[in-house]
Amino acid sequence: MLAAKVFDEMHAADGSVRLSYGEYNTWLAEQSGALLSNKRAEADLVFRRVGITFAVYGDDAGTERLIPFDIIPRIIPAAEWRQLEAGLRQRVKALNRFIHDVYHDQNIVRAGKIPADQVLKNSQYRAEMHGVDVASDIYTHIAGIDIVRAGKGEYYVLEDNLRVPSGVSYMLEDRKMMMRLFPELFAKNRVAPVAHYPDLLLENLRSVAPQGVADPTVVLLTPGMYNSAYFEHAFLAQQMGIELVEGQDLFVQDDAVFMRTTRGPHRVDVIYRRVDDDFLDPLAFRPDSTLGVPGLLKAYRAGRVTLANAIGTGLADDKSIYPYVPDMIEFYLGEKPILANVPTFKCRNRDDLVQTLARLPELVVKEVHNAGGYGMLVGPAATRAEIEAFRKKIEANPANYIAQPTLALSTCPTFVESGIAPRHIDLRPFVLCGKQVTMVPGGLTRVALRDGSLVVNSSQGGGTKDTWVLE
Amino acid sequence: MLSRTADHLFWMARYIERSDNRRQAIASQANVSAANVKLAQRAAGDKTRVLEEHGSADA
Repeated sequence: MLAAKVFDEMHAADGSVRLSYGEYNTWLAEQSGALLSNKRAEADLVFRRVGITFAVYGDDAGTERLIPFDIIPRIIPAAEWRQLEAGLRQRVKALNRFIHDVYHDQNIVRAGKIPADQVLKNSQYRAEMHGVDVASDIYTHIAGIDIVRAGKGEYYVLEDNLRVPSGVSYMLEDRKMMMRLFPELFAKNRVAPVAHYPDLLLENLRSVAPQGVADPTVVLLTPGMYNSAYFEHAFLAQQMGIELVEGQDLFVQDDAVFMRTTRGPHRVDVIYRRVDDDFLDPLAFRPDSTLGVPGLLKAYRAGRVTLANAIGTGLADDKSIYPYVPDMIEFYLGEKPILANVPTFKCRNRDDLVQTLARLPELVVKEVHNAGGYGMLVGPAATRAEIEAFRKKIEANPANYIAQPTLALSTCPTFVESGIAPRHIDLRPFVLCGKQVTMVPGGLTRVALRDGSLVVNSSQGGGTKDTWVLE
Repeated sequence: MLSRTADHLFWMARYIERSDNRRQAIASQANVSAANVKLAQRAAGDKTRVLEEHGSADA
C-alpha cells in the first residue's frame, strides 16, 4: 500500500524510467537473473575475503558481520547533487559557527533563538571547551549528514553526525566493488569519482594543524580492534599513509603529544580521533577509560595539538538541538536554509507533547541523546503494547524525546531474494571542513533490506548501495 | 614504526618459532611411534607365520 505513494528513485509515478536511470535500465534489461545472483555472491565473497566487516555489540551470533551490499546503484542527477552540495556546505558552515559561538560568546542564546538550558544543561555540552580557541576555528572537520527523500522527492536532513561519523569506507569499497563487478557500466555512464576522498581528508587534516607547524604529523586514533568500525579506521589510515595509533601509543609531555616509535618519541600535531569524547582523556573525562591519553585535553587546550573532530561537537548534532538548525543558518549566515529539516515535535514543549502523545502510532519518537537507531519507536511498525510502554517512558521524562512524522522514505530498486524490488533508502554524504569546505560527489546510501522497513542503520540489518552522481 | 607494532611483530615471530619447534617435536614422536607400529606388526606377522606353519603341520 505504501509502494504506490512513495517516491521511487528509478521509476516516475507513471511507471516510466527517470532520465538518470535510462542508460542503466537499458543495461539491466539485458542481464539475466542468474548473472545478477552470481555477481551478488561474488561481491559477498570478496567482502568476506578482504574483511570488510562491522561489529554488532551485544550480539552473540558472531561479532564481526558482513555489511550487505546491493548491486543496484543509487543514481543522483547532477542538478540535484549541486543543490544538495550547496545545502550541505551551508549547513555545516552554520553548525561550525554554532559550536564556536556556544563555547565562546553564546550570542545565539543571548538572542533568544535557543533556550539556554537546552545548550548549557545538555549532556553533550563540554564546559571544558569553554573559551578554548581551536585551530582555524574549525570544530566539525568531518561531518556525515543523513539525508532522506520523501513526499514528491524533496530532500530532508534527518540528522547531523558531527562526533565521529563512520561509513565512508563502505562508500569507497562499494564503488570499488561496482567497478570490479560491472566495469562496462562505467563506460556507459559518466559517474563522478569518489576515490580521492582519503586524499581530501588528509589534506583537510593537515590544513588544520596548530599554527607554525610546517609539516604536520597526522595520526588516526582508534579505540582498537574490538570497535565496530575498526575496519574503517585501519582502511583510512592505510589509504592516507598515516599511523593507526591506540591510546597507549601516545603520551603527553610538556603539553605536547608524542607517539612511541621504534626511533623514540615522535611529535604528533593532528589527531583524527575515532574515540568518543568521554574516553579521550582519563584525567578530564571518564577516569576508567583505557582508550585515551592522559593529559590530552591539557595539550589540546594549550593549542599544541588539533583534534578532529573537536571535543564537544556532540552538542550540535544532539537530537534536541536539531530542530534549531534552520534558525542557526539564518542567524549566522543570514541565508535561507537550502536543505529542509524534517518537521519535529519537541516533547519538552507542552503543546508538542500533547500532539505527540495523541498521534503516537503514526510518529517516530527518538531519544535525544541516542544514535544508531537505538532507543527509538517507529509508531506504524510497533505493536500496541510497545507503544503503550513507550508512552510511559515519554510521560516520565518528556524532555528526553523528540517526535517526527513517519516519512515515506524514497525507494530504490534493490536485488533481494524474490528478485528486484523497491526498498527504502537514505543518503549520508561526508562533508570535510578545513580551510575550505570540500566533499566528494555522493556518499553512502543505506538501504533497509526488509520489505517495508524504514530503518536503514547497519546495526539494525540495513545494507549499502553504491551511490552515483552523474556528471 | 610504532613501538607497539614492533613489539607485536617480535612476539609474532616468537610464536611462529615456538610452533615450529612443536611441529618438530610432534613429527619426531610420530616417526618413532610409526617405527614402533611397524616393529610390532612385523613381530605379530612372524607369530602368524609360525602359527600357520604349525597349523599346516597339524593338517
